[in-house]
Order: sequence, then C-alpha cells, then structure tokens
Amino acid sequence: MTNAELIVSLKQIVQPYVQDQEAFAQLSEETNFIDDLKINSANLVDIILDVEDAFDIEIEDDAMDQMLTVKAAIAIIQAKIATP
Amino acid sequence: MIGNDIVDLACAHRTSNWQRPRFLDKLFTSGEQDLIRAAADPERLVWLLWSCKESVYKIVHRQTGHRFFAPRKIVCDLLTAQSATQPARARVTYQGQSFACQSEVGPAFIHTVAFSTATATGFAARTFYLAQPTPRGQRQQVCAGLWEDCQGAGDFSAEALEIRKNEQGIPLLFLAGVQQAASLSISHHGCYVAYALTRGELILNQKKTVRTAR
Repeated sequence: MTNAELIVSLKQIVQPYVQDQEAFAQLSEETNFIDDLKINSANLVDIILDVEDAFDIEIEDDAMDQMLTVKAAIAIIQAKIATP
Repeated sequence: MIGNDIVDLACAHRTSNWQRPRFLDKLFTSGEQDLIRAAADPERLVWLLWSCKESVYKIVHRQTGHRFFAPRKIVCDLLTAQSATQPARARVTYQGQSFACQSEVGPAFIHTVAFSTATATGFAARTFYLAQPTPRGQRQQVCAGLWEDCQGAGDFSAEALEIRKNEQGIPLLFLAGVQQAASLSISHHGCYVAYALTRGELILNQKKTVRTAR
C-alpha cells in the first residue's frame, strides 16, 4: 500500500474524533492528532483500536507511544503490514 | 511542578466507549483493570484513573519536552476513595519516578491535580462549568480565578494578569509583565475548564516579593 493510500484510510478512521475541521481539511503527514486536529487524548486509543481492526494488525505499547502524528501512524502501519 | 486534568463525565460517556473490546487493555495495567472490574461504578473509576495518568503525563512532558502516548507505563496504585472531607488520592509512578495525585470527584466531573512528590507544596485549584464553552470564555474564567488567587501579590489590575504559552504549549503566569515561578496547569474537556497553580512567591517587580494568599 502506498503512503497516499494509507492517508486516505487514516483520514476515514480519524474523522469521527476530529475537533478542528479546518486542520482536518489540510491534513498532511506532518499533522499531529492532538495539537492540530484537537483530538481528545482519550480518543487516541479509539484511533489505535480502529487502525488495528482496519489493517488486522496489533500495535504494541512501544509503537503506540509514538503514534501522535499521521507520519508516525503510517510508519507503524507500513512496518506491521510488511511483516505479517 | 504541577499537572492537572479535567474529565467532563457526560462528555466522556458520549465520546468514549470504555466497554469496547481491548479499550481497557490499551490504557490500563492488569492491576488497574482489576480495580475497575471490582468497582461499584466502573465507568467513574475508568475516568478517575485516566485523569491521574493524564495529569502525571503533563508533568513528565514539562520535564522532558517529549510527547508520547504511553498510558500503561504511567501506573496508578495506593488509591484512596474520596471522603466527605478529603479528595481521592493516588500514588502514580512513571519510570521509577513517583507522583501524588489528588482528585475531586464530582457528580458531573473529575478534576485531578498531580505533583511530583519531591515538591509537594500546596496548590490552588478551581473548576468552572461553561454551558457553551469557547476558548475565550474558558480563558476569561481561568484568568478571573487566578486573579483572585494572586491577590496577595499586592496592587495590580486584572489586565496585568496574563497567561502566555511557551514553545512547548505550556502556560506561564505573568503578573505586570513579570513571569512567575509558580507552576500553572490548565485543562479543558466538554463543558468544564480547570486549573491548578502551585503556591509560592509571586513577584510583581524585582524589589517586591509576597506570598500567595487564598
């Protein structure tokens, strides 16, 4: 899967939790879930669970630590789907 | 250093489903999950523990400048329930460092204040409800509360109290243009905004120092 395709899937996943629609419209790899999209930190766990379900992967604690940006999320998903 | 976190319980109920499969596993240690399962009101305990973790995270973020999402590595234990005269208390550890949390558990919100146990000085904390929360409205409430807390500093107008954020996004209290050493933490969620401010010396200018009064 290309990063561009992943961003499309990721946008669908994060959309229900976004509180800043303007920042969401401008979403890029540099976008931070909390600082930019104003997602509540308690909903980060929902995003992680949704990502796990959507890609049929398991994100361990150490990967979860860094999952604060679109870029980090893409890197984690790419690494996981590359090594089934 | 101080960190705080407010949870609007109605908002949390609306926007999070703590009974979702694996939700608790991602956020809580097995010991914490045992406490949640044994609780009379598990949902309330979920958010009490969460607010302890979040307020401690804020201190760690201030100390390190590093952002992360590792709720299971911030571990709550020694929980004491709230009584008529005492707040709920928890001891929280993160990578060998110990923190003390105090929580006000209201019917509609939970407000936790965490401090590093080495520097357990007093603090002032306030919680405000805004039916229609806006960043501006929240800021006004916080400033009005802080202004009252800082009255001991002497003669200064409400306009002379400012909150400025540093590059890390951490709020700093300024009185008459002078940055205060007191540690300030602000949290908002749903219809609530809350802050905590450490007690200590307030400085209006280089010559005059006075104690916080409240």
